[in-house]
Amino acid sequence: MNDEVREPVLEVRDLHTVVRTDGHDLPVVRGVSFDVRAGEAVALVGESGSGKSLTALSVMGLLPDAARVVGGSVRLGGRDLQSLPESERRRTRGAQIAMVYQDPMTSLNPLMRVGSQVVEALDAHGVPRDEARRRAVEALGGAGLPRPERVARRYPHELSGGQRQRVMIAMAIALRPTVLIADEPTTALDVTIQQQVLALVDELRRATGLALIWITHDLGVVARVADRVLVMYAGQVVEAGPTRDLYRAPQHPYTAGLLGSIPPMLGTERPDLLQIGGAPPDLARRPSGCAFHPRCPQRVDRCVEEEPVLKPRGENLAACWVPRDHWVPAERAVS
Amino acid sequence: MLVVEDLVKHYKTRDGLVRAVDGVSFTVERGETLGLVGESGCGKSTTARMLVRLLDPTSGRILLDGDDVASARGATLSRLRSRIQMVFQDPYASLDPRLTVGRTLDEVLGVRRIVDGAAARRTRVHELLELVGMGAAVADRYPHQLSGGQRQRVGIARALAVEPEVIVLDEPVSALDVSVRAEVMNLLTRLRDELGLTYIFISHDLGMVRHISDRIAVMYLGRMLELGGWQPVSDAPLHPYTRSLRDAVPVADPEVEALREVTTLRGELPDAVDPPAGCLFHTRCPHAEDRCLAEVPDLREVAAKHRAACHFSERLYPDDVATGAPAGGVSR
Repeated sequence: MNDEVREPVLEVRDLHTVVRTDGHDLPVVRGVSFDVRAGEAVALVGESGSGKSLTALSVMGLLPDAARVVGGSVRLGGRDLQSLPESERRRTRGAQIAMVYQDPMTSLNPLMRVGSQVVEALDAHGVPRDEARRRAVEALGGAGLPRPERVARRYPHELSGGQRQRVMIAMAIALRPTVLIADEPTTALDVTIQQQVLALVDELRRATGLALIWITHDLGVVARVADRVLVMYAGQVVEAGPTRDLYRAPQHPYTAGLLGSIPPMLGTERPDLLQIGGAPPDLARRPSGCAFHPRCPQRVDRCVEEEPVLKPRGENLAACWVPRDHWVPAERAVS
Repeated sequence: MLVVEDLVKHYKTRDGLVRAVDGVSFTVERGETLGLVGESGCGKSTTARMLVRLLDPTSGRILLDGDDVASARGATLSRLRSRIQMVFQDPYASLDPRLTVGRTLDEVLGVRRIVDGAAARRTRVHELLELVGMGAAVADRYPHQLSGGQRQRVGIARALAVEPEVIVLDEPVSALDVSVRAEVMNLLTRLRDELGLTYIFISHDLGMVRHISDRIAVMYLGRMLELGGWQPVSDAPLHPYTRSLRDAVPVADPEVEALREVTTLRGELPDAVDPPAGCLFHTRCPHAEDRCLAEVPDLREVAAKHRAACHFSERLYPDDVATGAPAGGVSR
């Protein structure tokens, strides 16, 4: 299928979110825009404080009390979600857009059998009880749980971490949404179990045309699952592009730094890793100009004063004043 | 220098006996880095804690130049403890939040009587901070005023304070932001080479283990399944579990990923109270046969200096066994 001709199912435009801290509104998501089409996997990559999870929660309309969206639009299947009353938005959640989280224990009710929890989610969206029961077992099976009738009668604590994550995925797909947001769903899992979850979600995407937003800090996972990537730093998208292009020729020094900091899994040489000095900024003390400038090996005066905006660079979009062919070789090591 | 013989840690629980570590043996040469890799429940952290005697082994010996850490008491134990130190995953949890960095280091120096006199200790604190790439000003800070990477540097400085020969690093970069991991890894490599340290590097991250180790040991359910040079073990493993582990780790290169044939391992980790008979891995192994259900495979030398606990390594990986998978301890 050609990407150009497929309509996006989710369109996020110039999203701005703030968190109320000490009487001030702290910007935590600053002008994030992206599209996701049916059957496509888009990764939001970032470290702590990058705003990747708050972007997801803003899209879902599930922000914590202190946070609120202050600008931009989120269109799902052509409808602007921001303009919907909460009751209608709640109906959209689950039915059209669903989310799975890093820690299933915080989203599952420990006192309720997992099957009943899936049934309840269906029931809340008006699926008749009998049908809901059938579909819950179907969804548990569809999430790769063997003997789903038996699993349905278990309590969350009787399941392993991998099984609980499969239950979360079952709940998320039970209503057959068009968009699934996966927020670090494999971070707490062992790698062999992570691989099972990656394979499962990929299979669902291929089979049902689910549009996938994968939120992670793991550039290996991104390389395995994503068609396109958005790299976030201090609440902003600093680079975006097709996964292959972005990895082959990163146009933002932060992306290049992240990629260089990972030890290669091939080859006989083991040079020092490329290191980005410092740490991700505290959002309350956001650096002037480009937020990455204090850590950037390519910094010029302009970066301190003026904030770069996302512009086409090669096959990607990047928010950087210094084009890649003007970069100085980044230092390896000497700590 | 370090010889671990048949190390065992069993726990009695309400559900039955848990064999957290069940007969693990290895040696580490002076200046060498041994990587211990495995998933949760494999016993790597329990092994780490026994090496520094935070845990008492059920049985087995841990010989440091011939002295047994496992059975040592009193003055002998504290002497051995200053020769083998540990760095923890979460530097925040392992540092006292009420003490400045300087006080934390000063206490270690004072208690162990490594440096006498307040002034001399202060100088040493500054030296230690410099050694881990931080300025003397950090001495006046509290742990909460530091970034994750800085806290881990302090954790490393504290381990170095007693001038150890061996450092057990238990997931030292796992809790850090991706962009901060590289500098801690580079620091560890530099310190090892400058100070001639011996490392036991424990991680679930095969990439990090591959990067820093001379030899790699792979653990599963309390046992060692493979042991050999870093390159053979990570790039041409001779045990099906290590193969699956390597397959499961996504490589940060979409072009490589697109070409990889990843076999997804079936099933979950077996119950530690009721481990499988025969080969521990047979319940998930794509190559398991009757023999694997009945007979525990020895950790045997399948290729030069490369051991694997699989009955069928030669048949499964004939090319890799034949090329002899170059002996361990090659270049850094």
